[in-house]
Amino acid sequence: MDDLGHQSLRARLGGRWSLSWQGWAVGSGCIWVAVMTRSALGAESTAQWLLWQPIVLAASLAVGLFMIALSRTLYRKRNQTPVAVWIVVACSGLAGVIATLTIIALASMVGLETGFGSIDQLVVIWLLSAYGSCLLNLFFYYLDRSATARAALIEEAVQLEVEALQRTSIMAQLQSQLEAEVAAELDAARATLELRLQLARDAEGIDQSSDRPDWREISALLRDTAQSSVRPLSARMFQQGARGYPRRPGWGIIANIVSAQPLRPLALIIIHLLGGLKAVTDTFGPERGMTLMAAQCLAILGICGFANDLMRRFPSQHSRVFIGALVLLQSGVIATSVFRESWVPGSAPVSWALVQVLTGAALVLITSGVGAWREFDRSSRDLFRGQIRRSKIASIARNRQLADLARQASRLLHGSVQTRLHACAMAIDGAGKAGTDQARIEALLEAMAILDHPLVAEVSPSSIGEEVKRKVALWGSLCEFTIEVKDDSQLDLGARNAISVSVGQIVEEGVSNAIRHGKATFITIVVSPHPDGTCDVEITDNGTGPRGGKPGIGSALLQQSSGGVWSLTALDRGSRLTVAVKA
Amino acid sequence: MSNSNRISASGALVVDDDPFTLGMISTAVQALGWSPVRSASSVAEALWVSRQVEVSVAVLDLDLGEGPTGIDLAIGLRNAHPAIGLVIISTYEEPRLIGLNLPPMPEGAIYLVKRTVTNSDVLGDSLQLAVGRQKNSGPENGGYKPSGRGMSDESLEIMRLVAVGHSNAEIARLRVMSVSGVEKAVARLLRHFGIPGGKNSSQRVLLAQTYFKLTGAVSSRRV
Repeated sequence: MDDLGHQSLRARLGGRWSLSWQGWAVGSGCIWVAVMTRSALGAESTAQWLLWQPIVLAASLAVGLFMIALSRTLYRKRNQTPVAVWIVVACSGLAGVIATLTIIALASMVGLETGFGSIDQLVVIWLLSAYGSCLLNLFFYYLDRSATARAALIEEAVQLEVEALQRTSIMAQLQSQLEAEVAAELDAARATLELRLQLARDAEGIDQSSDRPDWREISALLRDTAQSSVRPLSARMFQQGARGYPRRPGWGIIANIVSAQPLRPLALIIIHLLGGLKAVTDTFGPERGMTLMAAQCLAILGICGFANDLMRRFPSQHSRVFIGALVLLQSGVIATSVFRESWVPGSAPVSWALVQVLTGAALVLITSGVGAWREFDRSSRDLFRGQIRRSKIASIARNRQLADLARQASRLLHGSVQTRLHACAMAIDGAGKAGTDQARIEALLEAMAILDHPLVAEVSPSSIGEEVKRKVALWGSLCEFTIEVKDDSQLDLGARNAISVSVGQIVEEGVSNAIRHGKATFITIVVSPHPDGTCDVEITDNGTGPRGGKPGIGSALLQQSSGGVWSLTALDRGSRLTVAVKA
Repeated sequence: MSNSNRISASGALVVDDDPFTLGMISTAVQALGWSPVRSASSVAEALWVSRQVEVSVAVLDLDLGEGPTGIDLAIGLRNAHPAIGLVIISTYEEPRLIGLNLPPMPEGAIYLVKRTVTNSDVLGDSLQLAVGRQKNSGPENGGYKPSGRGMSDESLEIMRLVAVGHSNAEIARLRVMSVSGVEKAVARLLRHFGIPGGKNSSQRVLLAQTYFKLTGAVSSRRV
């Protein structure tokens, strides 16, 4: 069972493809080939050959009418409720019989000889037609499922691309919208500040009711913009996505047939009987013809069966066995030639033998090639699905980044930026009231800093230095800091991101302990990344020193980050935490 | 506290990382007669504001997100302004529930559990009490009465770690103790809170639910 899922034989055989114009077209082609081959073997004149054409056409039309009748009756609801298998088999065989009877009837009307008409012949035709039609139904069904699966995968890849485009567009839009909204708020705040500066009398009644942006409207605008910019690209992107679908060179299938596929004796025998039984019995008589065909079929069955058994037992020798069996099968043509020449001189010229060998080899490869093609199809889908899965993981990570950005920006806009501005305004009020120009200027500078870079402060750090500074900024107002972070550019991005988190956690642990329990007022942090991805962190404070006590979560964190290579030592004044962070 | 003893309200500082709560508390404090009311959403902003203008009392959220807590900020404010009155407000039944690595609350600070603030008078009385204590240098542990119900720091921390989803083995690693020690501590907690065993409920989930109830994160409702 492959990845297309399993459906019952009834669903596969009696579903949509149990009756199709494609099936009718292929069937008509087979009728034409069969009739024309017989005509050629019978060395008929051009006029006779031309007479056969409308007969074949009529036979095809008769089959077509039969199929239309079926589609209105027994097969009417085949898409919803698959037709029973026995009905499909019976009707498929019947279609072949109808075509044959039409040909016989029309040929006799124009004086052409068919050589058909006996009951046993009709039974054989019924069987062959049923078998061929069912195979064709299954083949179309598989093609359809395979194409649907392929289209679904490509569509998935396209969706990811669309999502990436939308994300990029949304992030840009979000950033610019946020900046615009923040700027608008800051402009309003600036006007308030100026007004307050002018009045500078009353520190009460700070305006806390600045207009809130309508986020639903902004969100809808972003979505619409992103959609409208992306939708027209969909068709083109599907084509681009299809180009990304893995393709295999044709010769690869032949290599796969020889190295991995079994021989198909049943299919070979049926094709052999279908193509040669009539001609052989005509040429050599029923007894000799049947004997020859039976011997050939037994030879095919024996050689293929034995070869398949060997290939199963010794898979490493698959190619050798397959080629050996192929050669053996075709060498049978020589033996057949001897018999034919002995029975009817001139019936097996060299050209005939050559055509037989080439046709036989091609048939062997074709019958075994269906499995190879299915395997290639499945492996291509697996490959593409793997690519999509990796893309999905990356996409999820990028979505999280986007969500973080939106969350941070939103929080900044409604919280920090607004609050800081109000604090600035109040500080300016207070400074104006007290008449201290310096404090007012500082507050204004702070407001300008917010205005210039409202969203920068909360952006996720991309280096060890940024992460350390971010952590220190959280505690910066409670203590003085000196930070020295050595260059980490020699680390690749992945290593830098990974170790940034650990270093940040260690800095926070060291700093919080020094401030909370050591009452430190001054902390020095030195971070030294190494090219192998490790990093030394040293945190020195001027607090009361280590207090001892039972190890806790902080100790566990240091232990985990450093693999045990850390120390906390008392200094004359304060303490020093040294941690060798592992890669 | 009788009205005759009320301290005349002056500048207040409200700190909360949640903008909605910040706005609500600021409005409430202003309505109580404290003016002007400054607001800040982080420790850095709060300290910056406190340096710029005079603040008599500060209302601080305990959980200010990543970094310092309301208690860290309270200590910083007290160091900078020894006379400042401090009210720490939180959904946590007691500060230890947020984690153990906290310093003690500053002298005279009031710890107020949000669910007990049923009207603005409760907040007003707390503000008055906080400022009054500082003026009178009251030593009573800030009016904060731990509701740890006789539980040790270790038990509370293990309860917190169970609530955030750690296994006993992981808790043992984090707490640098044996797994059997953790198992015994968890069993003590289950007995302490009267959490029954049985097939119909998960004791660990009920313990986590109890923890979150104490932090104010969920109600006691159980479907």
